[in-house]
Amino acid sequence: MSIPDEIEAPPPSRPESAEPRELEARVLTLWWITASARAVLFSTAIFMAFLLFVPNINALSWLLPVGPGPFVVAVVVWAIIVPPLRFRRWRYALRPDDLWIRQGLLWRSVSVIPYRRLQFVDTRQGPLENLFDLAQLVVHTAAPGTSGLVPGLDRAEAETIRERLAALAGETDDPV
Amino acid sequence: MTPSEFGAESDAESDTQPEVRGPITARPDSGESGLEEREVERTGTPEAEDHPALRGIATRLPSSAIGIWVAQSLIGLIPLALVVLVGTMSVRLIVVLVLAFQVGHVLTWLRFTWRLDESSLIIERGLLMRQRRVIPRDRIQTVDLERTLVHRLLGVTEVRVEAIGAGDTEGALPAVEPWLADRLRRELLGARTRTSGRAGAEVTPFPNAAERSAPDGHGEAESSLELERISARNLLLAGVTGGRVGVGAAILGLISQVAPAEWVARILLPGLEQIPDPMSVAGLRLLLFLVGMAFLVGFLTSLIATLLVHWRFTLTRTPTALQVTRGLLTEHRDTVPFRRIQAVRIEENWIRRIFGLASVKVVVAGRAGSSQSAGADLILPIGTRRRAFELAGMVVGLEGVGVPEMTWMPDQARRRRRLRAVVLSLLLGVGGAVVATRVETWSPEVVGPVFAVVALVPSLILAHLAWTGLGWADLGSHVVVREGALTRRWVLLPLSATQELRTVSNPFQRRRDLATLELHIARPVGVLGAPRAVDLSDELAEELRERWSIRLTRTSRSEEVVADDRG
Repeated sequence: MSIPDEIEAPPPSRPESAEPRELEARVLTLWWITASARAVLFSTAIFMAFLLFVPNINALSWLLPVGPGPFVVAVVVWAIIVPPLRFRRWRYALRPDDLWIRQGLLWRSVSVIPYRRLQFVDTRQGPLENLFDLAQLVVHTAAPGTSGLVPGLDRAEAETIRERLAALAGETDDPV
Repeated sequence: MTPSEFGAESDAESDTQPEVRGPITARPDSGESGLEEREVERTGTPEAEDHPALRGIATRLPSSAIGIWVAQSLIGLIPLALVVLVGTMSVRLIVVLVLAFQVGHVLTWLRFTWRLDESSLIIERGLLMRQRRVIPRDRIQTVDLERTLVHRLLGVTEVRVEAIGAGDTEGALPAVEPWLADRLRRELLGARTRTSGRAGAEVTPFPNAAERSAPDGHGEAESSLELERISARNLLLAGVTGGRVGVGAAILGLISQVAPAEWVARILLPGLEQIPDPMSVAGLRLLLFLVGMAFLVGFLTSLIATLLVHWRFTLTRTPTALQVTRGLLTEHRDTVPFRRIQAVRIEENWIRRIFGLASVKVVVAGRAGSSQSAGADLILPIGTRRRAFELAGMVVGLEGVGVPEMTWMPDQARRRRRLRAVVLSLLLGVGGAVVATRVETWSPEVVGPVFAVVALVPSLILAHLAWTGLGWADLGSHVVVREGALTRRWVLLPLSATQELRTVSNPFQRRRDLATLELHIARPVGVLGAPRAVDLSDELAEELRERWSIRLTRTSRSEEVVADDRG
């Protein structure tokens, strides 16, 4: 037996009323801010490591900008490049029966969480998100490790979705 | 107890108000202070089939609970006794400490009450910090009864209630009368059934009375039915084929950490004058001998543990639940309602696969991976593969599955594993070469390639086995996935138990157009991952994700439970 050729039913055609949506563009700015903050931290750590672990650093002081240089460049480039790529990959959709989330750059995933399986629905806001008037939507099911998280929604939009999903979650069957 | 009896008890309504208060606990910040103290009703004699706690009145455990705690603490004191023997502490101090402990147990007992009201089991405990645990009945997953030697000596039973939530056991009553334990179990697990208009399952305590009949016979009304009884011979077989050799190695490793190697060697090999150099022939012989000992010890521990834990293993079913009775020194009776079973795992390690044997476990959300409930999920320690699948199918409401016909993963999945094996061998070769540069008599040019070639064959075999281990099957309402190179793990689950369907792919998988489909179910955290079909073709993975997600939203879990409740 090799690749299954017994797929009898054609791919399901469901009412795709809800097309995949992008996140708010503002979240990209937010991600850039956090990524560059992280990049600064990493670069500092790399410099410190060089200072601490390279012997005779005084004699080799010319090495200070050169040695950690590539690492720092890599960290900075990463911080610049990754957020837009991640943003481009991110999609979510409120389909008729389930929440659909696509994400991940290297480790890509597409999650489908039926509304009937929702245990509770949260919106979250960090201080930075507050600044951008953004919110995260977090949905939980009874299974561990399945918190569907949609970052970077407009705050009002997130609230609306939360209310809608919470109402749907109310009709849920017995959790487990 | 009928619901009307609850109505007669006015206290049952006020489950937010603690009924037992003491001056110590009247903390001003708790918001509960100033409540009038009430009398704690003492545990009655077991002649009454009715118990105050079941009527919602806070009740203490029988005083033999103190005995249990004392015994447990005395076992815990053994290391201290060793200190005394060594003589670093005065005997008088020890005695005082021990006595103080025992007084503590009496206080603990005084402050420990429990009751059952219409909606929840409520346990209140704690000397200074009062702890009040309310476990709603509809959150209860399993109820396990346990009798250690001490429990049996004192004629009591421990009740452990598992619910969804925290990592450890949610509600434990260390000691109650056996009849009450049984009654409580029925009360806690039968609640749902009563509301849906079905009678609770009547089961005789410890199922000697369980009637024997055909395993596939269903539709029986109220009685319990014995499904499986593991003979001592088969249990021995389970122990022998258990393959838990790692335990022995770990024990030996621990010994070598604690005791100096020389000392160990002296004991094991009395004639030995001095530890030989590990590079010499004698040293190698000693090493081989020690490894052999480790395997032997591991084998024996595995064997003895299996015998002790699963002695007289009996699996019975009632209309609503599965029940396992087992244990030689510590008797267990674990009950899992069918509706709480999320999935079934069938495991075949390589030894068992040779003989066509397998074991079966249930996956329940609440039972934590705590050591106490270890082994409680096993519903068949050993059996033929056919029997394992028959049982697994029955448990998830799927009669007559047989061993499912699995669909294999595409050839790309095999190639991926092959490449991985080759890369791994090359890395080993490089590693060998690096080591060789440090050893004078070895030359890296020879050692590196030799390492790589020697590693290549077994890793290619493993890669092939890993591929043949992969598989999936769609049984309509249920799904089967399988993985594992040496130990094959099948998971059979009703689609309705799925909480989330997720396709994932890493860069290596995408190179070959592969993806993994994960079926997230409610399960204990951190024990094993979600059931998954690894390395499907990416198109199929997506299609199955969509197809199955539609199917699972069209059938509700509760509907299905009612449907296959065999009523």
